Amino acid sequence: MHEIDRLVAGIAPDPGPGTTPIARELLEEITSVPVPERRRLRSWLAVPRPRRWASVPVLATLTALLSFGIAQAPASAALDIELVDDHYVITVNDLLADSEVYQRELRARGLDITLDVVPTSASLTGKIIVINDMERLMSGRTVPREGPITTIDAQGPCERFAGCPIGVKVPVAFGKKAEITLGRRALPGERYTMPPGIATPGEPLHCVDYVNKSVAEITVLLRERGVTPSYIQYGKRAAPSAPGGWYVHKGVMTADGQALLLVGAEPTTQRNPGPGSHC
Amino acid sequence: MTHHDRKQRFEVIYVANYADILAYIRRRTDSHEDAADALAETFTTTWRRLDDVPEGRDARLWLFGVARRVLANGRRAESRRGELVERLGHQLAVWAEHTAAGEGLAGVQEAFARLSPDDREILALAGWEGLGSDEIATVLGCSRANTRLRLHRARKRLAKHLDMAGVDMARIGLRAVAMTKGVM
Repeated sequence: MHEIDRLVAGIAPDPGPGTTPIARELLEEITSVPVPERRRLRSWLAVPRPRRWASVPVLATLTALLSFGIAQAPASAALDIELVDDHYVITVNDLLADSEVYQRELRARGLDITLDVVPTSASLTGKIIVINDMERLMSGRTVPREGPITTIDAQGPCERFAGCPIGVKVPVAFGKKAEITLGRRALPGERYTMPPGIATPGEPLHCVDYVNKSVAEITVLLRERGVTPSYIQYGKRAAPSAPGGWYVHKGVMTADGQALLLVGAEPTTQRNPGPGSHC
Repeated sequence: MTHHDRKQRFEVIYVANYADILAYIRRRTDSHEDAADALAETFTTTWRRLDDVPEGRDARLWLFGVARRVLANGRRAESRRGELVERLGHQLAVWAEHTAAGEGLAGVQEAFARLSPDDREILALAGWEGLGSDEIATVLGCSRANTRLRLHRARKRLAKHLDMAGVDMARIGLRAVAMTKGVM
C-alpha cells in the first residue's frame, strides 16, 4: 500500500456494526417487493427514486449549471438518467466530462446516443440539437426535426433564443443511432464549437441588417461593442484585416468578443433574411 | 429466474457485501438516519437491478458505484423512510455513541478535510475501502489511466497539505516526502 493511502486508512471512520439482525430484516423487506417484468428487462437506473422530471430540484440544478458556465463537477455520474414511465429522462450533471464518459453511461442503458457538450456563447448556452436518426442522415436522406427524442423545457414562459430546455426525453424502446449536441458556456478564451450568428438575439449585432454592408462599417459597429473581427473569403484562410470597401456576406461569433466575417469584393446574391421578427 | 432464484442470488450478494456498503455509506454521511436510508436505497436498487449486477468480486464494486450515486443524489424522500429504516438509523446512532473517535492523527484529518471532495473520495476509496486503482476506475466509471493520474495527484496534494500543516513527514515515509518536493 502506498504510504499516503496508509495514512488515509489510519483516519478511516469506524465501519459500523456490520451485519446485525436488523440487516436480516431489511433483506426480507427488500425482497418482499416483487420486481416488475419491464424493469427487470431494462432497469438500468442507478437510483430509481419517485421523482418527477420537471420538479424544481432538477430544474434548479441544470439552470445553475448552465448559467454559471463552469459546472462544479459533482461527485455523481456525468449524466443523470431517470426512468419516468416509458421514457429515460436525461440531464447533464457534469458539463465538462469527457464525451466518452457520457457515451459509456448511455451505452450502459442500451442507448446508442452520442452526446456532445460543446462551448458556445451565452445566448446559445443550453441549446440542444437532436438528430434522431444518424443512419438515415448518413444515407443522404433528411431527418425530420420532430422525432422520438424530445427536449424538456422549463415550465413557464421562455424568452431565450435557444429555448429553455432542461434535458431530453428518450423512449425506453429507442433503438436508433442518434446524436445530441448541448451548448455550454465557453470558458474564458475558449473557441465556440456552436457559433451563433452575429445578429441573432443576444449577440452583438442583434437586429442589425449587416449583410452586404461594407467591411469598414460593420467593423466599426463590432469594435464599438467590444468585438474583434477577423475576416475570411471563400477558399482562403482567415485574416486579421480585409479591404474596407468589401462587403460582409455573413458573420458568426467564434469566441467571447471575437467574430469571423465572411467577406467578398462583390455583394452576395444570397437572399438576405433581414433582421427578423424579434427586433 | 423465479422469485426464489432471484432472492437466493440477492441474498448471496447482500450477505457478502452488507458490512462493506454500510461502512462506505456511514463514512460519508453525517446523519445516521441518512446513512440508514441510503443503505436501504442502495440495496433496494440492487434488488430491482439484480440482472445487471456483475458476478463475483465485481459485484462489490458495482454496489459501491450505486451507493456513491445514491449519496450524490442527496436528500431522499421522507415518505420512503419506513419503520425498519428508522430502527436501523437508531441502531447506527447508538453504535456511534459507543465508538471512540479516532485520535492521534488530527493533522492528517485536517489535511484530508482541506482536499476537494473528488480528491477525498478517490483517496478514501483507496485507503478506507482498500481498492486498487483499477477497481476505483470501475467504481467511478473513469478510464484506468485517468484514475491512476487522479489518484497520483490527490496523493500529491494531500502530501503537500500535510507538509504545510507541519505533520512529521519523516514518520510517513520517504516516498511521501518526495511527493511534496515534486520528485514523484
